[in-house]
Amino acid sequence: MKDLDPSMEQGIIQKFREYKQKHPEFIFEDDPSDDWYTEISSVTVAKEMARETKIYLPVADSSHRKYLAPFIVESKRLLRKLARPFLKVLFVRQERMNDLTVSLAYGVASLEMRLMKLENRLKKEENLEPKPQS
Amino acid sequence: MNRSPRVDQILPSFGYYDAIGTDTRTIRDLIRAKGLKSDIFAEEGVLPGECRHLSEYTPFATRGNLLIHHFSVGSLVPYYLMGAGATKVTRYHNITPAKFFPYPHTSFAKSKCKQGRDQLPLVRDLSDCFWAASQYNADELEAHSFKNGAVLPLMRDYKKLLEIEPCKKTTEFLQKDKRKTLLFVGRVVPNKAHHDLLFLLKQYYDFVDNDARLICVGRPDPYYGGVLVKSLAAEYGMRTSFDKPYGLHSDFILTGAVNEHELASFYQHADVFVCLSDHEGFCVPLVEAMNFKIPILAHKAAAVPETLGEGGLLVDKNKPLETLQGLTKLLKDQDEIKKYGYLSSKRAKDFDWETLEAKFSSYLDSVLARI
Repeated sequence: MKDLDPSMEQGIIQKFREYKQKHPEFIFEDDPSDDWYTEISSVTVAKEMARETKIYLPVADSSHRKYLAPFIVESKRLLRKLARPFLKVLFVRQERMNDLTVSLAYGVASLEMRLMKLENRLKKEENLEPKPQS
Repeated sequence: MNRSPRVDQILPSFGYYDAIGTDTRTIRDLIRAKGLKSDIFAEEGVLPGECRHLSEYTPFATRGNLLIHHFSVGSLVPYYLMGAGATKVTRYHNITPAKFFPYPHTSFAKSKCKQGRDQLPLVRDLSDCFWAASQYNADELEAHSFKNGAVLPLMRDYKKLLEIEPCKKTTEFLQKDKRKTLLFVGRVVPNKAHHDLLFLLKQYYDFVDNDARLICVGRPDPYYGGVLVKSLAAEYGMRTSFDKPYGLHSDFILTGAVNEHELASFYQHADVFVCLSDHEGFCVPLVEAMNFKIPILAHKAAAVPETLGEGGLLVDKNKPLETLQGLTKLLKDQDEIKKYGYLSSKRAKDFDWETLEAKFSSYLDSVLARI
């Protein structure tokens, strides 16, 4: 057995530095520019990856990308900007809770869930599409 | 007319065996033992007899009932809470920081974690009090102006694992290799830092001895666990084993998901439990390892120092020499092995079932008295 000598410190620290330099994928730092709302879109991620790797991706032209994806994004934006704050004011600030408002809250939540499912379906379809040969 | 209140629990996703799932089941059983009606409701993971779908909660969302909301990730649950008139308790398990999901493949998990942090103010406005799994979690909530809080460790009978019969096949396999076993239990995800475990093992092989192997128990994340960790092990030239039957002379074994009999075998044959996680809200495997009297080596990060207490050796994350020396001490020095084994079992007593049960009962009674 080799002895563990404190003089080995420099060697180990050097190895530790090399390990960190060689593997930036294991360094996790906060990125203030992150926005979860844009991150969720796989289209955005695909575009980012294409820009970084300079791989050509075909322009989106199928109907679901042209019409459905913007519809999802717009609807989610409306829900986030209008419906949620409106319900929050009703329930939390004004304590106006009745059958109508409660069912409205459930309606908003289930609509959001449906949108999320639709978005996931689109993402799956996107992944199934054949990749272009570079 | 006075009627006894219902105490229900609501969470985004229910997993029967995972840490939050077990906490939820234990709390439900304790509430039922008190003679109150209690159910678990979740968006995902509906299990007949155990967990009902969120939509079925609607009839119980009335004033006079109590609702425990398990909060660990962003979801639609807080919006459901907006419509619920019941008194609400937030059970906070901590949200993994989004920085641990930098890969494109994990953008969905990242968005969920970011969403969770974004929802903190909303949950604060909705909840009447909170029960945090650790003081670290409680501090985080207090920084977001949450009020009326208490610290309640993850509820489960940690000693139950000791009574489970170990898996014979796994025990035989573990006994065949006479080398020392370093064990870590937890999902193979970036914040658990399996890459640092591999680096530590590599340093141990290079500078000390090759009489040890590393066993990581837990389901791997497809990209981090399935690609990055495996390629790092290959780069270090380690003999690896990722599937059953495990290779007899493997240096690094990634078991994937295991049942509780196999888990008991791994704990029984571990020489050191090594936890180099960067982020933990509580860390259940630490307490399980304490119950098996295993010496523990851990990094000072997030809630780990608090859960570990005096029960193990804490080292600084940025001091690789200190970590390696600590590991060598726990593998080679018989006095230190005995000392840390004793300290570990001593600390386990702080998480005794009786203590946890009494704590929970008093917290529950105080909340019920306010309804």
